[in-house]
Amino acid sequence: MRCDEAREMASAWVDGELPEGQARELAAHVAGCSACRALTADFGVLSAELADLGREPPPEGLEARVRAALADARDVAPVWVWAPARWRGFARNAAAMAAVCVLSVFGTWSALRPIGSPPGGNPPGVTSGGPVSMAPHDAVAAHMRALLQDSPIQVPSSDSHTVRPWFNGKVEFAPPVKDLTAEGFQLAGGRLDFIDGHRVATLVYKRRLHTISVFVWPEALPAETSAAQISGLNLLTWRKDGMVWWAVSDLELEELRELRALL
Amino acid sequence: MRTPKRFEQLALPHMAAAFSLAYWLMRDRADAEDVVQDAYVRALRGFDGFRGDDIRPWLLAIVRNVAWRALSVRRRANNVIPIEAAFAAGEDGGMALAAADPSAEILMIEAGDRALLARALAALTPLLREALVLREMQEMSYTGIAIVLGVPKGTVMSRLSRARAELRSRFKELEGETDRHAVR
Repeated sequence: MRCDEAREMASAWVDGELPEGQARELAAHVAGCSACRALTADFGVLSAELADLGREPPPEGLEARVRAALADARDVAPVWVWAPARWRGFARNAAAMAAVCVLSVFGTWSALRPIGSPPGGNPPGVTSGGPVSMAPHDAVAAHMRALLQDSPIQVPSSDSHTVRPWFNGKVEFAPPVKDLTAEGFQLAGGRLDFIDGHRVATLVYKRRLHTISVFVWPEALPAETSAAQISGLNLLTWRKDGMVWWAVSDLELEELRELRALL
Repeated sequence: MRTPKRFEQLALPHMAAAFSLAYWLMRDRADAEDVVQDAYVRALRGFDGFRGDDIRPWLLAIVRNVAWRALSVRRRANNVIPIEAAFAAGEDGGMALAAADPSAEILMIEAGDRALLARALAALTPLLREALVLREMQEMSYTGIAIVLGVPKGTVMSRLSRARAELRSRFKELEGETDRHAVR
């Protein structure tokens, strides 16, 4: 056995996780090589000393705190439950494929139809041929109105379990609320808005100094993903889980797409 | 039976282990508390997805993921406490004094060694540190660690190997530094 091989195996040997054959070879090598002997000895000492550093004892109130949090979580009936592990890989693949489809449809669409509407014209993304939707204008107006007020939020909380129940009885559906702080979109809270004749749930996210309004309501009609720009604000709309989603912000469109992928 | 009661029965006994892992990853007791609380709530919600008899690796995997997410938020918030600062007090306080009583001196050297080791451990990247913590503080098998980290057993083996090699050289480096200080 060479020294570099021995160095790689020394750690597993100390842990007693090396297969017997290799363990014997290593023992033979160590017996005749002082450098590797010193290494394995050091590993053994470090191992014992680390174990001796010991566990960090939990603070006294932690168990009570955890129990209370669990009781809270129980009271809020989950609207969705985590997918079981065996489905998760499948769901990820399916989501990735769906994302590719959406992107390619969107790519074709945006190549044929440049973003940025002529003044006075319908913004792109409004279903052509059908009745003209007021949704883009309503969404922008609601976003702007909210920004003009001191607080664009009726229920300020970064906790999705505070925000989601707040919508109970205020809208006749359960809006999916996710805290995406870790992904860079901090949930700031929720409010109600009136868009295109619907009472909708609005989720407010923050990204750096930007505010994003995400409007959600259920609708049965299919429509494609689309993007538009109105009054310098970016709009992105899509459908997922039987809901219509509108995101309005002064953020770049790319970042809104990032948020869409997370919601 | 997948009830919240059952979850508590299975999961609460592992809270000390969960806290210790969270602490060694976050290097902060208050942050570790938040991580544990968050992880338990997530675990309860994902309890339907739990298969098998041993809840510990499954639970620790959730703790670990929550801690990593919190670490990345902390990094992004540019709120990182320098690793050196975390153990600076232990170093100077212990080593600068010379004790008359030999037994006290041995104790002090031991305490100094422990602080040095903790500093060396803290200086490892979280990826290497967590493997060592699971192995040494949680006394987990490579199979268990593989479940927690979500990587093959071979990767556990090589990470531990790299972690120990790095810990050893950092520890020696730190020892050398304090020896120089002591001579001066």
